[in-house]
This record gives sequence, structure tokens and C-alpha cells, in this order.
Amino acid sequence: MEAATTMEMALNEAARTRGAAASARAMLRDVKIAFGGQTVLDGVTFDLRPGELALLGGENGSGKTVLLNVLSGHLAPDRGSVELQFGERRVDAVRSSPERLARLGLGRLWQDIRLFPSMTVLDNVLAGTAGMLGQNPILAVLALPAVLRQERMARKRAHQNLATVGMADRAQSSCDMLSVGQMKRVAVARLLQMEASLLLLDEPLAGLDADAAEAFSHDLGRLCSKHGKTILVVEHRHDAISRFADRVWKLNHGRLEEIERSHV
Amino acid sequence: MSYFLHLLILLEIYLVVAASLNLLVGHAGLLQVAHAAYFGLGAYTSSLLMTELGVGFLPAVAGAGVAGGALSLLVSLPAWRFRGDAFVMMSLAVQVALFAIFYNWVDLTGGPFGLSGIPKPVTWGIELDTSGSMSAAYGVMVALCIGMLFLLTRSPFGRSLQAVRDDELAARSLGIPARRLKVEAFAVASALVGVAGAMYAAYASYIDPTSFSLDESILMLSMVVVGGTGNLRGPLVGALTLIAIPEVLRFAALPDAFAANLRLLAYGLLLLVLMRLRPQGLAGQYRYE
Repeated sequence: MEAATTMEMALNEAARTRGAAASARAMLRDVKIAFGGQTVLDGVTFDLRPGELALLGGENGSGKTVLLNVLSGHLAPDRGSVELQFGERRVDAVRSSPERLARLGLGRLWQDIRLFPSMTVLDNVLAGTAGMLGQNPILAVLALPAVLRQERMARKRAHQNLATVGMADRAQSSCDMLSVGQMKRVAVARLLQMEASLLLLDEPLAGLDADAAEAFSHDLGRLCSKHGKTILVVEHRHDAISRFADRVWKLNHGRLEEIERSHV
Repeated sequence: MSYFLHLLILLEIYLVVAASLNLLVGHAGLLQVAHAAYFGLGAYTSSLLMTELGVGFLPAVAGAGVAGGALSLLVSLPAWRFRGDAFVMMSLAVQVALFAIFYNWVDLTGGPFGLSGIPKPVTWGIELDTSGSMSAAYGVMVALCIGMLFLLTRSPFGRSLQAVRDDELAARSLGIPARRLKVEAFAVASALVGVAGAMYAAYASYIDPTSFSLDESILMLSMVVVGGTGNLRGPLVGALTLIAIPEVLRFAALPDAFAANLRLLAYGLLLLVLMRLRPQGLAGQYRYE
């Protein structure tokens, strides 16, 4: 819980060091996708504006994760357009690879977490660092001083992000030794390391106790209101997040319904 | 003494072979079964550069590295989407095709008769014509190759490659260019094994296709599996173990035909025991499941 509430401190630090994060927007128009003749998304349209927090609910198998896959470039819809805006830059997500969208500022928390099991907690977070010179094999050898300097800065930031989620003392632990809740916190630290402006979170509260879920939801609200992050959360535990959400949506047989806040 | 220096030189050459293959198998998760073909490409390239064009040893070694890297890029372009079993089949095709070229392009490679009269290395005016001088010079070259691999595997490049091996989907969602990284790792590994091939040719003075067959590729892969992947100790232990087995059997004074089969039996048995008892290899980090 304490870990989650200190998330804002890390974001303040990030904002100081990098300047204000670029605002992001997600616009879907008439998105339709079917698998084996069964329609999963049917004419989904929405405009998630910069700094908004949207909560997406729906029955199991209603297409929530498919919608996140479409938004993050992992899945192309059969019909419709998916446009993402990062700062002044607009991109067609249907024609963009997931790695390109991630580099532009899209961060995703997976339902099954997807940490890298053979790596330490610290390396998992470092893997989220964008724009590392040393990712090029030629520069990794020939520009060693600059690579090492950049690596030191990235490590410092990774330790800060791990402290933010309360995992500072587990930096050197192997990821396959963590509980589900701890893995989720490491995944959040990895998103913080990415400094993404559009966050797609798939069941972030799963594995958290009631207090931690409450604190986490509170921080999500602040991420939007104070730091301009745009967030789409898929979550069954409406109670914890809905009061911080600007929009509440429900997927019902592939159709997106907007729920009046007063009815939540 | 010269016998031990001979073993040392072989160990140096195969250390580069195993460490470069470890970058692919251990760090990138790509099961390469054409490493001997790239090794042969380096050997033939440097030999032809030295014998036909009169190029010096070090430029010929560089040429061998460039040839290995360039061929890997040529293969990667149509095959960049391949992974898992499809990548293994693709590399098997490369192994078979290159071996066929070594064997059948008689005018260039000497075909089954091979290339002989490959000159001993001369660097900065010093002829490396003794086992001692050659092992020392090769030691420096191996240190450079291993140093480069050490820097690469400890860099963000190595970390990203490991992330791709563990979970490509998650890696891509972090902005890691998975396909590009695999192509780059493939190029680096192929260039380095090309360099090792050039070292081998200059040491042996004679090469023929049998040194670059599928059997040799499997032996190289066995070095990585036996030693273990994911660090630089594994390839060293693997190369040392698989070079030592035939030498130990040599002292058993067995009939030649029997000794050759026993060597293969020993390799097979070792792999079986390791897969059962220690899947990560003798000194590795990454487990084969």
C-alpha cells in the first residue's frame, strides 16, 4: 500500500528530469473484429482524451483483452480505425507495430504479467528503458563510455521505480521467486521506467489486497489528473477504481456501452 | 609440450566457436545448426584471400568475419520471421547448401580434395610458425572476441536479447525491436565463427569439407549444451570437455574404428546424462526444458 501511494513521487521526479510527459489520446471508430465467425468487437467507438482514466468492464470473454490487443498494435481489426495521438504526433495503430507504439509512449500491463523469468527484478525494470545507445551492438562495443554513463542513469532510475512500488530490497531477486502481487508491482515499475503516456492496464488489481487496491486506484487517478497520463483500465473490481474514473465503459456482446457515473 | 600447445590452440579456436554460438542459442534462443557451415565459410574465404590474392593474415581474418556476417544477413532477410522449429529447419538448409558448395565447387574450393598450402599467419612481420607463437597470438585474438561478447551480453543489447528469448511478445510491448535484435545477434555470431574458421585454416594449413559438415555443427552445438548457456563460462567448459574426450580416449589405445564410435557414444551419453541431471549444462544459467 505504501509502495503504491509513493508512485506519484516517482512521477514528479520523472517529470522534473524529462519535462512534462507528452499527453496521449486514443480514438477508435467502428472497430469490428471476429474470430471463426464469432464477433468479438462490434462497432466499438470511443475517444479517450488526454488525462482521462477510463474503466472498462464486462463479462469474461466479452473482448476486453482483445480491445487492448487492438489498441497496442498486436491485433488488426477486420474493420474500423484505431488512431493514437502522442503529443502532436498521430499514428494509425493498425499499421504500426507494438514496439513502435511502445517507443512512442504506449505502456501495457498484461493480465498474466509477463515478466522475463530468467532475469532479475532489476533487469526486468531496466528492460523497459527506452532509447538506450547500448541496444545497438556496434555502439555497445565502440561507444562504451557513453553506454556505461547511460546505463548508470537507467539503473538509478530503475532503483527509484522499484522503491516506488516497494520492491527496492528485491532488486537482485530472480523473478520466478516472487508472488503474483510482487510480480505485478515489478511490472508497474517497468511501466514507470518506460515513462509511457498512454497506459493500458489489464486487471491491475488482481492479486492485491483491499487496501493496496484502494491505494493503487487512488494513484491511478492522480496519474491522470496531475500528470496527464491517459489510462484505460480493464478491471473486474469496479468498486476500487470507478470513483477515480472519468469514464466507465462496459463491453456487452462486443458492443461498448458507456455507463452513467451516477449508475456505477 | 607441442601436443599440449596443439590442444591449447584447438581450445582457443573452439572457445570462439562455442561462445559465438552461445550468443545465438543461450542469449537469443535461436537453435542454430549451421554453425560449422559459417565456420567453413570463414575458413575458405580467408584461405582463398591468402592463397589466391596474396592478402595478409589479419585482413584475411577480417574478410572471413565480413563473409560470415554478410551471409547471415542474406539468410536473415527472407527468414527474419522464422522462429522455433522453422528457424532450425532454415539453418539446416543453410548447412546443407553451404556444404554442397564446399564439396562441389571444385574450381574454387578444391571440392573433396580441399585446399592445401594455406600459409602460416604473419602479423606485423612476425611469422607465427611455431605452436608457441601461434597459441600466444591466437590467445590475443580470442581475448578480443570474448571481450567483445562479454561487453555485448552485459550491455542493453544483451539484456534486450534475453528479454526477447524469454518472452518476445512482452519484449515487443516494451519497445524492444525483437526481429532486428535477432538479425544483429545472428550477424555477430556468424562473423565471429567466420573469424574462428580463418584461425582454424591458418593453423591446419589444409581444409576440406568434412571439417564443416552437419556432424561438426552438432558437435559445436553439443559444446554449448554440455557447457551451458547464458554466460561465458559455459562455452569454455563445453569446448574443454568435448576437446578432452577424444584425447582421453586416445590414451586408451583402442583400435581406430572402435575409438571413433566410442567417441560418439561418449558424446551421446554425456548429453543424455546432462539433460536428465543438469539441464542447464555444466556451467550454464539457462535451463533447457
